[in-house]
Amino acid sequence: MTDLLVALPTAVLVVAAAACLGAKRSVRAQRAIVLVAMTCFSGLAVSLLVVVARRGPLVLAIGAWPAPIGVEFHADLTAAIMTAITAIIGVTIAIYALGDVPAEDQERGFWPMLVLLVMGVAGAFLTADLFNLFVWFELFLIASFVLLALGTRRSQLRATHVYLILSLISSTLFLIGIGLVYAVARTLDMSQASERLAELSAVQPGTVLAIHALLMVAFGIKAAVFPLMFWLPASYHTPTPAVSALFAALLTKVGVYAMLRVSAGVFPADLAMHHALAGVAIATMFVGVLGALAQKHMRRLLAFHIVSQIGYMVAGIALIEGTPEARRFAIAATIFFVIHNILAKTTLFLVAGIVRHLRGTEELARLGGVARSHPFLAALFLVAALALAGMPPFSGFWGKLAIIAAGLESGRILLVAAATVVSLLTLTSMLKLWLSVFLGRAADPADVRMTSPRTVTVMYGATAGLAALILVLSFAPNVLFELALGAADQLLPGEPVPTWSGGAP
Amino acid sequence: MSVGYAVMVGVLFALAVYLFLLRDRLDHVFGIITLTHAANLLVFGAGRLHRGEAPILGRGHPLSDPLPQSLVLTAIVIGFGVTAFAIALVGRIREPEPPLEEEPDD
Repeated sequence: MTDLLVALPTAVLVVAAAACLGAKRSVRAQRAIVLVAMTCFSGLAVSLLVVVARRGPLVLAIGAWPAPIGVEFHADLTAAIMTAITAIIGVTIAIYALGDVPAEDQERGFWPMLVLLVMGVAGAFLTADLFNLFVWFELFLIASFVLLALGTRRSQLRATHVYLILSLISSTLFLIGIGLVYAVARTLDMSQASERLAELSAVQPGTVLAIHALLMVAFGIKAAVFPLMFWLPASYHTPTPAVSALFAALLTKVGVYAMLRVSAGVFPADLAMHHALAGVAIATMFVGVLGALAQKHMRRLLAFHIVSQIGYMVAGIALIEGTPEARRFAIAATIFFVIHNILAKTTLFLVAGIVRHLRGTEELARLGGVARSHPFLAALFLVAALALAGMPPFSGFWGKLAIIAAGLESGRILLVAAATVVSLLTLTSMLKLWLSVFLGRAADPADVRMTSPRTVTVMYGATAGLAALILVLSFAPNVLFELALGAADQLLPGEPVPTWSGGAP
Repeated sequence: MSVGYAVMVGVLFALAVYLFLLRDRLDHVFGIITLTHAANLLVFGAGRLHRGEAPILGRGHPLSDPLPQSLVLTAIVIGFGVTAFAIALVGRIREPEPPLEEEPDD
């Protein structure tokens, strides 16, 4: 029965979303349902991680049809790690939203959409079938459209329009890529496709590379890599902070995850693709961080940093080349960096949301002196900001160290130099936030207090929980890194990993 | 038949790109509709085109592949849902600006 554990996390959330829609009239009931469901989801996700880490990948074939015919839920270690972090973010955002999301948005369906989004993201991690990945993508995208438009201010609707069109173009490219993979490989199961694509690549390398590139462009739009990232800074600051933080945590990272899985586990390595990815990574890092330096609005600034940090993840994917040992290390570095970045970035967005609630503005020019009035908030910001910039001993340092080590290993000096310089620029722009928001003097230093003190306490609690996780990751990075190395072993094709499924064979 | 089919898909993609480049938001919705249909036809074509063959239990060798058809069916449903949302969204954006409630000056 243990293999049911693969499907249960998403199943719990489906039931919760349906229950929320059923309890349409009572926001109080919806909150209770979501909190219970997110707690169960985290418990299941963590047990999934433990089981997969101990016994190897878990597979659940729906209807007992094996892989090429039936559709499988599949949890290898990468998927399990990502599901666990999704659960952590889900719980955190659900608690934070209790204080942050305006009452009218909660009545308009914030809670079921939150659950659907988290479900879609978790589902995308737990599948080994390309078309299923597409369907999960669409599920969480539709939930994200609604969340972004919720509140229906004109700026939000315009942002949703841009986001919707771009997401749809990306999804269509993804679908075309799937169609082409099927046309040449006659399968959509990732491991089976990887074998057939490797055979085909020996005969027609161009065809395989073209399909790979098409899928990378599709995922690149979702992950917001240069030059496909302009929709992100245009939309992420418009909704309520809880939604911004949720998007920042999960949506682009699913794109990165898909890039990682497709590049490392499905398509054969191609030098041209690695060169292109390395170039894209450098450009993404620089464009993001330079864009951030020019911003005068808290969450806009942070949105540009999302882009910049995606550059590091793409760098990690570009470095999956060379000897099996080097590829294994690069994959582990990428996974570690993604997890670190989800924690650090979300904490920063949550802190920005609290500042907005306290002071009623996000314009840097009108903020100041928050460190004096709210020292604990300043401490939370410092932990996350230093982690993001990669200062030792925080988690970002270990993440960047691993990426840079992988870069030196494969001799991509330009990429290493860019990663180092962008680190310093990131620190500069975090310093800008620190100086203008937390130090200095505000134009009107009194708190506006958009909400009651009690709700702000709830928001503090959620943010502090994430910051504590950053500290854990900072001082015990080896725990996650060893898990990530194990995940890399399973992701690389060619070495079949025995799958373990409980009960009768 | 394959060449004609490919040309048709290509024309649909070109039309979708053209619609996305127009200014009007409603044109973008038409772009979405065209684009999703072009992609659906492409996936359908990826299963090879055979006229009058039954799926799985085809008489001869070229049996028609049911998988792309079911993929397209799923994609159509998803595309339909997103299109409905996009139309509602554009409708809301195009509503005239609500008049400001109070204008002390002027």
